Amino acid sequence: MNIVSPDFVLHLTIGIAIGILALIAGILFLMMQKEQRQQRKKHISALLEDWLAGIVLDDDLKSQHAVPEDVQLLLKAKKNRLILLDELVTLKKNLSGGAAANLERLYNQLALDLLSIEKVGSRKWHVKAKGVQELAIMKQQQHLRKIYRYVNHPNIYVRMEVQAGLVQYWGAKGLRFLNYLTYPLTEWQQQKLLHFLLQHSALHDLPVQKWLSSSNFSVVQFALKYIGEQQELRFYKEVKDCLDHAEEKVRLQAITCLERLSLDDTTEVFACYFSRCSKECQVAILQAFQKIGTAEDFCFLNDCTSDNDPLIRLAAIKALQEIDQREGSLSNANQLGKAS
Amino acid sequence: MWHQIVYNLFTYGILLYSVVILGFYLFIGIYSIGETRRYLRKASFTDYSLLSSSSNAPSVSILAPAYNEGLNIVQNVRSLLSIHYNQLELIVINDGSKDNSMQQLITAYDLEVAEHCFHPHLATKRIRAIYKSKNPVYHKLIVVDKDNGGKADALNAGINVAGGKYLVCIDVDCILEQDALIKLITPFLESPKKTVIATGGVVRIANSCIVQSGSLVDVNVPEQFLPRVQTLEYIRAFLLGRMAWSRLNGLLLISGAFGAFDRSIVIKAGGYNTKTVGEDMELLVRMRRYMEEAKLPYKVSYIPDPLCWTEAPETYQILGRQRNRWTRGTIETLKMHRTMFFNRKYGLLGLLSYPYWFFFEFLAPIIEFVGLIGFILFTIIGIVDWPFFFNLLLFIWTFGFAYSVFAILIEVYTYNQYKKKGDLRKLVVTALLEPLIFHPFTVWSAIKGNIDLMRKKKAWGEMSRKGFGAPKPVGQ
Repeated sequence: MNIVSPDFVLHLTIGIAIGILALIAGILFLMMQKEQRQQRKKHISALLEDWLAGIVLDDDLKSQHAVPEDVQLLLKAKKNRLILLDELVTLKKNLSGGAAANLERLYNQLALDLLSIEKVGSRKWHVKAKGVQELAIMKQQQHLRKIYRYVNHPNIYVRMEVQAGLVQYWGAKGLRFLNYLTYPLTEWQQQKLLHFLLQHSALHDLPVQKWLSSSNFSVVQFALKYIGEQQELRFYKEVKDCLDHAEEKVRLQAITCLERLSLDDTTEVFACYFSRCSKECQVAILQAFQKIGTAEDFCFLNDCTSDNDPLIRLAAIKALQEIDQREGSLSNANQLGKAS
Repeated sequence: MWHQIVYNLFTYGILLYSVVILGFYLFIGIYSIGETRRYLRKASFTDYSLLSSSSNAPSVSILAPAYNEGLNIVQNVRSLLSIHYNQLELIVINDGSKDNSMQQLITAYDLEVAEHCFHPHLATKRIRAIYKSKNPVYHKLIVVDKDNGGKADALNAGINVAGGKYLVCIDVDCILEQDALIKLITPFLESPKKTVIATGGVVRIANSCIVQSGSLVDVNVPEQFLPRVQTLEYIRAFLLGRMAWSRLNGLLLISGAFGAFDRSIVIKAGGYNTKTVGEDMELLVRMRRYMEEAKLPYKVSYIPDPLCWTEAPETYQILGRQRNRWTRGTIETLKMHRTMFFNRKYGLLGLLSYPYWFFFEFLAPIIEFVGLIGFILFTIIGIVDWPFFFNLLLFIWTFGFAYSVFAILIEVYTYNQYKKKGDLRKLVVTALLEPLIFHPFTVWSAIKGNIDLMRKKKAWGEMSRKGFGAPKPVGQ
């Protein structure tokens, strides 16, 4: 009984062997292509290096930079312009002030924004996202206005770059997209936005209250991070209200935010809230006491050391130890002894 | 004739099994491409570095268990301390070393016994003392000195002591890329809806590579055959296998050498199991089971970046011990979680991941071994269809070779780590020889693992390593 004939197996083997040859050819081709691309990039970068260094260091804020003939010739090819664009973007990320402004002017002068716009128009999400990023880094205000419509793009990476770009350029003012955001902001995106926000000064006419009452809980979470980071004390009351938010992540963020704002009554607010919150929030509150608690809070913390939950007891003891160390007070030594 | 019927049943049974397993390999190879490509595209414009200095970044605890690592412990810890991440603590757990590891650490890092309150969520062997440095430069370092209890026990002690939101468990002698930690942590922050419970990164073989001051400075294809064939094996396993399973969200294993976990889920799932030698796989399976049973949306991520470099066994003796242990660990884990086998309640985990591991990781060497014995018997009886046998043998060899060459192609397309002259030739020749030398040895080691498990052997098996202390240039 032969379900499969030996000849069939042999033919299959020959087919695979041909496939192996194709794979090896593919490997060699890929390696060659990568090597060539790397060499070309290295060669062009070397050619551009001195010229770009001169532009970066140029403190004469003139509108046009001289482009040497050999570079002009080089830039006729689109692939070379793309290499220059990459170089400029990489350089610009690490520069600020006059040097950065020089690179922006060169970008405009060589009309490299057309390449970035072309990328934005691509149907490939990663090309689109990269194009948006280039426009933001090069502060292309007129184009950034046009890409605003992508803040709710279905592809997470495209909308992330658009949102980050807006904040990178306009700072806190660029956050107005939060009013219309339909997708959740990931933790990573929140980190990015905060990172770019810190490079700009705080604004006073932002609709923070609107964000705090957003139905998108990630917007509320981000607003709390923003308030904490910028020490926006005028929203203290609204932050306190967030302790009763339906979403646990928001409640935890509100505790962190209050700890950062830390007014005279903050520990009292925490103490009042303590009995009606979840265990996770209770632990977060006691961790906040480690940083902002004072000797006046010993009574509350001591009560916590007799809680049934070992995690609460542990957090309370840690808070007592921390405050004791910080205030150099010995008065609670006996109480600590009792607690442990 | 009865023996002809047995012969046909046996032959075609094994043929059917082989067709299914080859089909899976084909699927895995092709399916992994999408996941790797998506990651590379994302990485082409993502700047991970902003996380390292952010005060809002999640806190991370690195857990590095050490047992008799006195030879390199000081350099290894120094290398780990050089990782740039703001919210980081490094917890080295000295698991009752018999050498002078602890004394070396005390001297090198100016350690003193410190008061460190923690809750013993997980039961462990006695902790003798917790040390912190008097030198503020090493404020991120915590050293836990405990009675010997094995790697899982040491990691559990580290989990108890840790204060970070995420845990990164590593082998203390691994070499990490500078941005390894950030890249491993980012997936936890990127998922908008599902909780990421664990992430893993690609582990690569560092034999013959040049290491200076705890950093990898030059990548080479290993000079010796065994590490070289393992290089190929790791490329296949990580770039193809794990990426495909990651895309399916069906990963059952994150390497014990380098993986990150959500601490709260680890604790809720019960931490590492000290009763198995496959504690890394067992933990992930248990964490997944916990999430499935609690009906919580979750994900296990894998990233294809080569983030961690480790030394592979260079002798058959040590390699055999390692594979023996891996086999026992797999069987123990599968046995502990057998309730998931084809259980719809566990979704993809029960219907695909677990059965795949059962049929193609656990059973494959056994079936191969039984097939070999059957073949010998049929040869003695004289009923072997030799033309069919040789064609089939050639087919399997060619398929295995093709799969390895495909993995090399993906490696070249993605990270292209081995680009020196002759590297490609070495890898291709190794792929050609692997089915003849390396594969039979791993099958034999797996069979020994099965036998040892039946004999209730629980030993980890000594894994002596040369270390990277004295870099030796290639060719010398």
